[in-house]
Amino acid sequence: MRDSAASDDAALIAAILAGDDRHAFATLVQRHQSRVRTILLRLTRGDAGLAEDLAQEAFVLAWRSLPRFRFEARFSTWLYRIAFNTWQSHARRKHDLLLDADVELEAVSTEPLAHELPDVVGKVDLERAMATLSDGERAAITACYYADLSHEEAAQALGIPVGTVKTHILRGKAKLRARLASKEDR
Amino acid sequence: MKDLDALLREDAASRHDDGGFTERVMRALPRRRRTSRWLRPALVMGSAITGSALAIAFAPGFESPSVALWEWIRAGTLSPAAVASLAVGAVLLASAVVIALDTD
Repeated sequence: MRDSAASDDAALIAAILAGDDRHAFATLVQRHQSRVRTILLRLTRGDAGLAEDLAQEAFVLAWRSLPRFRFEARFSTWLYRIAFNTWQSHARRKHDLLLDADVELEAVSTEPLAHELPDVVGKVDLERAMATLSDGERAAITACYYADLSHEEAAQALGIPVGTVKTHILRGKAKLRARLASKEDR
Repeated sequence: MKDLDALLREDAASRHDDGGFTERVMRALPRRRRTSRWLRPALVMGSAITGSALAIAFAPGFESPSVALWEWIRAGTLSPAAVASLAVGAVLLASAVVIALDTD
């Protein structure tokens, strides 16, 4: 299924590169806009307006960079990396983005946590809980769970070591579990 | 009971309606410049060759580069004109290599 989607993407990209086919690019945008917007929505702590602007910027950048696409990775992986770069550039302009900081500093409970969460937990709760994570934790979880990147690909996309990605994911997920589990107590 | 990994993947797979997004992106796209693959290298090499020819033609104490190079091959005498011709050749070769390596 994923391979057939990738080969469909490759055919569309070939049409764009061969004949500047804007309809083919529109099809690519339609196909990938949902995931790109979700990724940016999580990265921007649920700021829908900003996520929308960054998603548009990412697609325009993808259009400009398409002649350099080498078909070595899936188009979606390449596009998600552009989305991450767009977010990082914006975040760096606004504040000091520290993706590899505080991995050792923050105390997170190391007690074994239940793997399961209460049934009442929903999308909105997850959205709120994600917004409380540090930039690094949020970015690592978004890269691996939302953009479906491997730890190595996430490390490359975020410009941090693989070990830091793994630590961010562990700590981020521990925080999410703690926050979401506490919903039941409230 | 829910599992966090499943909750994250479920959230990632949630669909956003396009809601005019694609149309906005298409309106924001810049026009792609359609240039021939060979236009840029041809312009660079053409400029380099023309500039070099003019530099040699108007150099003080002009001596035909072909004669100077023939003298160098035949008698091993390296005149200033032969040195200039070799330098120009090296510059053109370097330009060609840079253009060949420039994949963008």
